[in-house]
Amino acid sequence: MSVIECSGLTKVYGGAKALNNLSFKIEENKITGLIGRNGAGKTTLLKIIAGLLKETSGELKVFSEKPFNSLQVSANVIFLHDQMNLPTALNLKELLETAASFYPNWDRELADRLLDYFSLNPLQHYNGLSKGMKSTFNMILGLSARVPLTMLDEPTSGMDAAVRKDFYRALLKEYLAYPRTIIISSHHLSEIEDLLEDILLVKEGKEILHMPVDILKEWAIGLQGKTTVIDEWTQNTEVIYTKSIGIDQSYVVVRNHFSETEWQRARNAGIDLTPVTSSDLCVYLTSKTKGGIDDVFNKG
Amino acid sequence: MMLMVPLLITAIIVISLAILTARAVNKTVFRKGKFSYSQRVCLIFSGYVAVLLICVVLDTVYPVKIVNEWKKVDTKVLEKESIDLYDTALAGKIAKEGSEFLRKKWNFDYNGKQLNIAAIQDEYLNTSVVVERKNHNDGKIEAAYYQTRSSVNGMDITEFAHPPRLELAENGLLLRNPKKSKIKFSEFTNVFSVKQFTEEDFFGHDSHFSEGQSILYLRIPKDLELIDKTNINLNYVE
Amino acid sequence: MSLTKVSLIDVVKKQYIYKLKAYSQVFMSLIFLQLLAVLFSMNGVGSMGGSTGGSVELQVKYFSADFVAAFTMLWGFITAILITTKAYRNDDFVFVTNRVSSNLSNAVFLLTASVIGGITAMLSSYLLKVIVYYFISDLSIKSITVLEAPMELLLGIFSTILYVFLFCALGYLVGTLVQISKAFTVLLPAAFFGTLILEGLSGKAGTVANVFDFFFTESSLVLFIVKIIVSAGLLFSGAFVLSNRLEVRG
Repeated sequence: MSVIECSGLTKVYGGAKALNNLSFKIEENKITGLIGRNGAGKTTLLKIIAGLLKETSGELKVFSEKPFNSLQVSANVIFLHDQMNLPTALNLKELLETAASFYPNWDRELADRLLDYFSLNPLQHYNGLSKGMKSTFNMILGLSARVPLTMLDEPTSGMDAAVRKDFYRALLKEYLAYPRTIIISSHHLSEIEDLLEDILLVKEGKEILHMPVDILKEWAIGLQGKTTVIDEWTQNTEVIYTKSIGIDQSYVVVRNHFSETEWQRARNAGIDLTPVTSSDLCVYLTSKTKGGIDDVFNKG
Repeated sequence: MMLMVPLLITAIIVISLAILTARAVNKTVFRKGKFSYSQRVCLIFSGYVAVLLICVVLDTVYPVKIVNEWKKVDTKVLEKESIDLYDTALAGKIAKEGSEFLRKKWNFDYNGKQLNIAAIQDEYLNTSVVVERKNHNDGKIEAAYYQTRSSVNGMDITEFAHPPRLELAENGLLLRNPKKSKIKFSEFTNVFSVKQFTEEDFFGHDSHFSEGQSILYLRIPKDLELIDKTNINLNYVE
Repeated sequence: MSLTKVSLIDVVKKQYIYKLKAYSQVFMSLIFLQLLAVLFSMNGVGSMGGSTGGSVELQVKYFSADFVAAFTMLWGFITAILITTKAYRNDDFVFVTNRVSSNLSNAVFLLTASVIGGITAMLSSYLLKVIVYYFISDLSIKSITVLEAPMELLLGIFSTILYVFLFCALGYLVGTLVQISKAFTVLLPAAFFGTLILEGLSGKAGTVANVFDFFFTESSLVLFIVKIIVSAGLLFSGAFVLSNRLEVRG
């Protein structure tokens, strides 16, 4: 069963298209990473899925229902982001109690133990927390609620490295013990790569690719060698990324649809073949130009 | 509708105060302590309600003393008294029929042909002056002050009313309003939301204050001419 | 993981309990405003004076909870507007909600607030009595204790609750309109004051005065209840319908 079905989804914000004809499907009980640059439309997409915003056109179904203004969707979706409005009058303990009243699967003990582990004072108020601690609390809320669709928008923003590590571990353990559909949008793809099953890459409101992580790892390949040789080899292929190294060397990234023998010939011709990390690949795929920042300095 | 302007200004002040309080209250949210904010609010509010309830009990057990040493009167009876007194005065029968309302008497000797009669400092005299010409010239002027009962909210306050002051001086008979006695009360009434159903007056209050009728009755020698210097409006008995 | 099914009533109940705690600061402002009103009332809410034959100067000061009731109505209005602002309105969306349930729980919360406001407003008249009697002047000509007229107290509580609730409904609609478009922040006061001024100038009894009379001079309790419930119902329904398409921004 598809938890989320989306086709032709468009959202216009004051003249600009935040989402542009987006289409994808997300299956049950998978951890999907929603990757993209700032302003690519990730948060907007998550907000529409959560029912906070309404789409301008296109179709979106969450658990086979339209999410906007739907009580059923709201009960089965939890969306945690850094601009959440939590009432100032309640302290952390009371917030967790409120969550317990709303979510039938809430694990009280887990929440309390997590709160304790991360040294959060239950009598403190949400506004008084630092950014990292807010994110930590959001995580505790998200994990303990055990909601069928859990969406986390930049869940690690502000967290220090140690807490981030703990967070990924906690997320994985929870997911394995109580499987649910999870969507994480993050900038640190390299960190969460091992956690994710699928990646949905978004650029300027449109989906670029949606595939499992292991396939993504093999999706492209990096070639490095003499510029002339490289150019010859990549004549008929779409180049994803180019970079000049030194005077006559360059590094390109291309789609990996060459066979094993072809690669052997390439190596014989003096080309270095290197795998491309998903994180780098995503950066290249979502950039505006085929070159990099160096070009800005070179052209100037 | 011009009442609205001060009301609106008050409303604006109140609204701003409320917003300021809300902000100030929010700032105290981050106080450390065992009780959470909402628990503290609950405590303070319960304290407030407790104070209110104590006041209710206080009021029931030791009710506000109503000044009840004063006799109760029926305002309708008083009204009739006032009207009757005036009529009898004009008919000259006041000595007989109004005797219960006699408060003070004065006697003056005067042999002149004319008498100026004036109110001191041109003030407006609060009593009606009724003049009766006697049958003979005996050189005496008799003045008598009558006043029917006054009441507030059905309670007799006549004892607070004083007679005017009379003085026979060189330039004539001087009349003067009595010294004022001040009485202050408080009255506890219902809220407008109750009054609109119990048929009480909405904006007004139901205190009834009735003045009595006061009459200064002068008996003067037959041929004495009274010269009204300050427009007292003398009424002569037929 | 299996999906949970929720019912609207259930969610509204949970939200209501949540809001009683989350919005508790409004009750602090209630106390403050009521005490302020008692302070204002200490000089009497009205007075009458007169003289008997010029020799008695009588001054009667009237004390009642009029000011407190009026301030409480104002408080209801402000509170209702407050809970439609973003900071409060969006509190629901972290948990389970939709716009209908959010509005319903707000309405129930406002009803609770009206009940609390109405009761404390009426009780404050006894506070005023005690203060005036013991500290200001013990000369009184009329005072009614609870035991003498319990029905009047109940009547007062009931009718004040209704008034406060009406003002809550009005505030809620006003707040919702402002959320829909910031233009209303200017439009609504302008329309209100404009009408007042125009009516004042023309000297004729206008709409505002008519509305005032409609409620404040109604002497039949049953009719009054009907009027308030219908008007409040209309105002709330208007707000519900208008807010149904509101997105959660910021």
